[in-house]
Amino acid sequence: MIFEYFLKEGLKIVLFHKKISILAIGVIALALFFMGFFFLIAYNLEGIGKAWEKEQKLIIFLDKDFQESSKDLIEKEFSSKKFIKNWKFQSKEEAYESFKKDFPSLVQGLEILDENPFSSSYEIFLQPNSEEEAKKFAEEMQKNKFVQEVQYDLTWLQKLNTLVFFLKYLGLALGVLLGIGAIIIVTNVVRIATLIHKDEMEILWLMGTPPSYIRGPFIFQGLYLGLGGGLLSIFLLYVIYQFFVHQIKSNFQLLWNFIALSFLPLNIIIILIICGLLCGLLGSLLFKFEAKD
Amino acid sequence: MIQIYHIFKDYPPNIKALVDVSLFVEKGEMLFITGPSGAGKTTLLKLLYRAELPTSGQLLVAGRNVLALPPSKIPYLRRQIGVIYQDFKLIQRMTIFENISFILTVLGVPKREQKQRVYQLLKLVGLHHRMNAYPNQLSGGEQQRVAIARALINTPPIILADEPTGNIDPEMAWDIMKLFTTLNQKGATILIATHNLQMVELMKKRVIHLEKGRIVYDTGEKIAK
Repeated sequence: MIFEYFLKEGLKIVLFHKKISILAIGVIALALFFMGFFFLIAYNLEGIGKAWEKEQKLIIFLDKDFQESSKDLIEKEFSSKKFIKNWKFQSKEEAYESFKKDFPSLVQGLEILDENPFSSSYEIFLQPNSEEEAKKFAEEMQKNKFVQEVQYDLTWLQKLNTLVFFLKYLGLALGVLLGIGAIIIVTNVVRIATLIHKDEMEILWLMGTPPSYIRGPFIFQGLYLGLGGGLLSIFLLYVIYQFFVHQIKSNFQLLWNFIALSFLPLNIIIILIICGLLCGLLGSLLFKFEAKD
Repeated sequence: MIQIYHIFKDYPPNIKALVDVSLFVEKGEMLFITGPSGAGKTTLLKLLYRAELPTSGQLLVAGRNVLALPPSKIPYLRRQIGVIYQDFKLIQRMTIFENISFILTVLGVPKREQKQRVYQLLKLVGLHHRMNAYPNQLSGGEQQRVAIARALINTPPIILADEPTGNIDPEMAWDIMKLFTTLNQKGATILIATHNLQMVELMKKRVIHLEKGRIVYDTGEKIAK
C-alpha cells in the first residue's frame, strides 16, 4: 500500500513541477543518448566486422591472358589446402555483367573501351581461424604465373575492431561524465521540490510520519525522471537510426545491400533504461531529508 | 500520563515563554489551559509532542522521556498524540480524505477500513459530504473540523487541542466539546488550550491558567512533586 502511495505521490510531484522535470529528463536523456549513440555505431560496426570474419575469404585476380583451360591446374592447388573451405570462379565476362548490373550508370564509360577491362577471379572461402595459413598462401599465390593480384588484408578488420573498442569506451566515458551532470541536476530538482513542499513535509513529520515515508515520494520522483530520461534517449536514438537508414537506403542503395544496419539490441536498451533509473535514484538519494528535532 | 518537571523555555534574545512549569496529568483526564495570548499555552503543547525542546527541565509523555527520544523514535511518540493545530496544518494539495487517512496509510490500515473510519469521523464533524474537496475549498470552520477529524483518526490516547473551537460557531463548538467529552469518557487524555472561558466554565473540568509563562492557578492542584 505504501509502495502504491510512493508511486502516486512521486508522479504527482513530477507533474506538479513540470518545467524542472522536463529539464531533468532532458539532461538524463542527453547523457544516455550520447552513450547509446556511440554504442549504436560500435554495435553496427562490430556486426559488419563479425559478418566479415565469419565469411573470411581471399580474392585472387587472374592474369588477363589466363585461359579457362588452366583452371584445373590452379584448382588442384586449392584442393590440396585443408584451410580452404571452397571457392568460386568468376570469368571476366561474368565480372563485366556483374558490374553492369551493380553500376548501370557507369556502363557507358565501359562501352568506350575496346576490350573487357576485368580479370577472371577466384573467391576463396576459408575455414575459421586460418589467418596465418591464408596469409602464407596469399604470398605464395602472388608468385604464381597465372595470378595478377591477391587481395587478403586483415589490417582493416583490426582497425575496425580498434575503432569499435574506442567507440564503446568513448560512449561509456561520455555517458559517465554527462551522467554525473544529470545526477547533480536531479539532486537539485529534488531539492527544489522539497523546498516547495517543505510545509507539507513538516506537517507529515508533526503527524508522526517516519522520515523514510516523507522521503519516499521524492525518491520515486527521481526514479520517474530517470525512467523518463531513459525512454526519451531510446526514442531519440531510434529516430536518428531511422533517419540514417532512410538516408542510406535512398542515397546509397548499393551500400545498403552490403551492410545490414540494426538498432540497439534489447539488452543494451534495458541497460540504458537502468542507467537512467540509477541516475534518478542517485540524484534523489544525494538529497537528504533532515528531520527537524 | 503527562509529567512535566520544572520546565523552562526561552526564545532568543530573552523571551521567557515558560518559567518553571511543573504539571501532572493523569491518564483519562481532561483539562483546559487558559491564559492571554503569549502566555505560553501553545509552547507548552508543542513541548509535549516534541515540536520544541525546553531550555531546561524534564518531560514524560505516555511513559516516554520526551527529551531523551532519538529522532527515529519521535514518530512513535507523535502517533500516540492527536494534535489539533491553531493554524489547522492541512496539506493543500491533498483532498480532505487524503489529509485524514494519510497516517492510516503509514500504519498499513487497508484502504477499505480507511474509507470507513474517515467517513465515520467526517460524519461526526458534519463534513462527510466534503470528503473529496480540497482544504482551500472549505471555510475556516470546516478546515478546523477536518483538523479535528485528522487528530482523532488514529484514536490516540492523548489529544492536544490548540484553540479547537476558535473558528467554529457556538453550536458546532459545543458539539466538538461533546465529542471530546465522549473520547475522554472512553479513556483519552485531553489537553485543550483555549481563550473561550465561557466554554471552560460550562465544561466543569480542571483548568490551568498561564500568565507570562507561569502557572497562575491549577484547579486540579496536582502539581508534580
